[in-house]
Amino acid sequence: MALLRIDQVSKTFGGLTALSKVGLEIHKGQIRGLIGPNGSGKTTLFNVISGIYPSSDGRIAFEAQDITRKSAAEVGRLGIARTFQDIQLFYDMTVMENTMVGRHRLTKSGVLGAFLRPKWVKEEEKLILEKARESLSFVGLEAYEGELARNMSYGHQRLLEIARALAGEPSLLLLDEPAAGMNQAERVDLMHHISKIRDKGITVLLVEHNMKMVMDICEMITVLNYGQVIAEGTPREVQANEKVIEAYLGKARRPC
Amino acid sequence: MDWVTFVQLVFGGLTIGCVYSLVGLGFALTLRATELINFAQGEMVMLGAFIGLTAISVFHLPFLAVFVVALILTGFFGVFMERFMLRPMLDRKAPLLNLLIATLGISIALQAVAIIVWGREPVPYPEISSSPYVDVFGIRLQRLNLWILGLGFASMFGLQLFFQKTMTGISWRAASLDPATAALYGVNRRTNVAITFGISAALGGGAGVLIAPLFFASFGLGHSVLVKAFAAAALGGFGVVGTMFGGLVLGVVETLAAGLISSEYKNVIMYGILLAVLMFFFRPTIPAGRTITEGSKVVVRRTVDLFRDFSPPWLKAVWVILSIGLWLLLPMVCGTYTVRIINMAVILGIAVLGLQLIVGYTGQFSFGHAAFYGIGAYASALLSMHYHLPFYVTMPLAAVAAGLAGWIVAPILRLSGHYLAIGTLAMGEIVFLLMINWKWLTKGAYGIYGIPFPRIGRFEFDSDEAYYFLATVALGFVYFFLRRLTASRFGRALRAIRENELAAVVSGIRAFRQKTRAFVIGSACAGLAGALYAHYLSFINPESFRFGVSVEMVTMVVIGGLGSMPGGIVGSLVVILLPEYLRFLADYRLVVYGGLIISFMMFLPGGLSDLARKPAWWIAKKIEARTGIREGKRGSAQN
Repeated sequence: MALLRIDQVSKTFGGLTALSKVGLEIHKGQIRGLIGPNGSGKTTLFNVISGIYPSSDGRIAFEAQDITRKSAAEVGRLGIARTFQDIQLFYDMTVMENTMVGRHRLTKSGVLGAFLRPKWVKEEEKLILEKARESLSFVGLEAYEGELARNMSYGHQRLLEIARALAGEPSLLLLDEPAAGMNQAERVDLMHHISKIRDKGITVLLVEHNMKMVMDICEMITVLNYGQVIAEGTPREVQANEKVIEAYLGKARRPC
Repeated sequence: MDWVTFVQLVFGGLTIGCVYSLVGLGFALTLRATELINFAQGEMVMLGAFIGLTAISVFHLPFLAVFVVALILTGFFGVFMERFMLRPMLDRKAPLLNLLIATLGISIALQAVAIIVWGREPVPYPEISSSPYVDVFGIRLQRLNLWILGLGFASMFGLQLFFQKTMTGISWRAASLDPATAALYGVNRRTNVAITFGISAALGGGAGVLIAPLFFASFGLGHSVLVKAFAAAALGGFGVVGTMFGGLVLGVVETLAAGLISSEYKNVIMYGILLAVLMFFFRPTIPAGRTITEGSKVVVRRTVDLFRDFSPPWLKAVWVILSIGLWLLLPMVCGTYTVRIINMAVILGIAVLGLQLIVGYTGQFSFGHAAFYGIGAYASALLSMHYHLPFYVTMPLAAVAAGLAGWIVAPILRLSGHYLAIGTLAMGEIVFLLMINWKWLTKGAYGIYGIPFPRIGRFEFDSDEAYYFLATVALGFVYFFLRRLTASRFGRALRAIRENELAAVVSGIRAFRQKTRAFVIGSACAGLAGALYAHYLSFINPESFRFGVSVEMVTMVVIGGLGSMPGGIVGSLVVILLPEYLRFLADYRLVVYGGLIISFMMFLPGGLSDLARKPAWWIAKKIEARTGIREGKRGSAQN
């Protein structure tokens, strides 16, 4: 049984087809790579899965539940977390607070709880703090917890997005070019983190331009071009695939 | 109704609509060039009207020349305003809210100047021609209306020509679509913005000359056309041709509504149309994200909480004793008059804390907060007078009524940014008009007299000193409540929405639901404050709950510092007390006040918190060094 099942999903913007009948199944515990030339629809697919764009056609099921028409908040609450290609943080909140927000979906105290502050609310707040600290140390940012997110370095901001996503203990994590703008050392570090995330039992869907990284850590890779799936398989299979070579070389005119 | 009357109505509608189009074009142009709604656009209309008046009555110019003079002079003023007040802020990418408030400050100052120069009373225009009517195919048309239509259409035609045929116009359109690319081809963004403000102001000024013969020249002329003109622009999708048609349609709808339905409700209908247009066409479908380079809608400075995070128990005790002492001492050392002003500030402060939750914490603009203040005031007054309920029952009920009203209008929270600002403004105006028109309930503009003083048991709060304790205790309760609320999972969710709605939503926060909660709670605070206000003054009328008061409340929030509850209180004290100390300036008071608002937005964008922040951190560091206390519990820290 697939954790995430994308069935014939299409997305059009006016006359422009961004995704056309995309099918994809991701199994539990995998690191799945999603690659493709610029503009091939990777980020659009992420946005459709996470409910930010409604799909024009097709169905998406997560843990055997239909999420096609669910809003982004509902999808997030079900346990699909994501990061963004252009980093999206709460800039004037602390690193710790950013991470605590990630646990919103698993907690429930509301207005009345905040006012009366009964025991369970205090305990919940303590647990949020604890778990947030845990995810911060997981990515190695525990030393910065009191810092404002806007004062963090670029690479650290990317890690903070991951920490926020992890604080919600998701079953599926969508990473949108997490290594963009990172240097070699940071990238190696990141790869290490992604494998550790998988080892926690979290399934990962990874969009990445760095081929070496994708080939090294993904068990399965899906290739998109012009909004369509053109290949799927192990890194070795994909590398040998004619269509993939054509898509990349024909477009970029340089070997990857 | 016979068809002649109908045609005359339509003709009248087109005339007034033409004016809305002109003013609306000003909105549309500035919005497209700078993504800013210029609230001072209404005052350009007023300025044009008065310049025209002077030109006619002092220099005896013909009407056409008057129109051109007003157009040119207000145009220059627009350029001046952009260069010296707005450009420094635009260059800094100041937060949207600060820019909006700066334009409101300009608007306040200009109205005050107009009062000084031309007086408070509306001044009629001299007749512009000897025979006021012409007959066209048996229909009697006012000559003045023909003038208005002719000049209005000529200006719009000229504008369209400018945008289609001249190089400057074409560059302007390119820059409004993509400023970065246009800049690469040598389009100077600053020049463009300056041109925009010049043209927009000129259009407003021209419209002022056209509308003043109908409605007289008065300092409040701008406000009456402001919202409708914006509605015209919104209806036309902020395009040039669209806005022209939008204004004409609205003008016709307005006169027909007045003629066929009721003149009392015509403005309710107009504002209703605006809300409908905004909700249908300007509602964002995907939550807005924000990368680090993008400016925020509101600016929030991180402040240190000396009391909670840095004080050892003994110091906390000192703080508490000092503040209780000050609280008790204040009404004794101050005179009754000062206590009275402080009471007003405290009462307003309660409403402002509620607004702080909405604007400062959740990042949602509200320019209609006074409506809920008014609903609370009326609810408590009517309940205590008709059903003789005691104050301790009517006050909570007032909060409930205002909260309920907040919940009813909460769908406008689906709008964002300027559209929300204008939407809440229209909502506030509708509530105001209902207060005026539901005479069976509110006694209309006359207001309600003889609202009883609050009484608990046998004690009556009939003196200013007694009321001081009542109001401050209420403020203390609301403050405590909101502090707890904001330092929780709920508060964190609100701040997450303010900082980045996209990221908040993806983290599983149902943004609309949380915004609604914040809005309802904030409105309920305003309702509570309204009840205190009504029973304090024992007289209320709709004027006390209008747009101006809403603006004053937003100013308090921003001057005190967004995202800080103490800031909310300080802001209301300063904004209420300051004009009192400026009383010696007499008529110049509001000019100075408006100027202060502008300077605040330009030089202290974070409000008074900006001033307090550094010393507070300095003290915090000292305490840290002395006692070894570190800022604990960072997770729940305020900003």
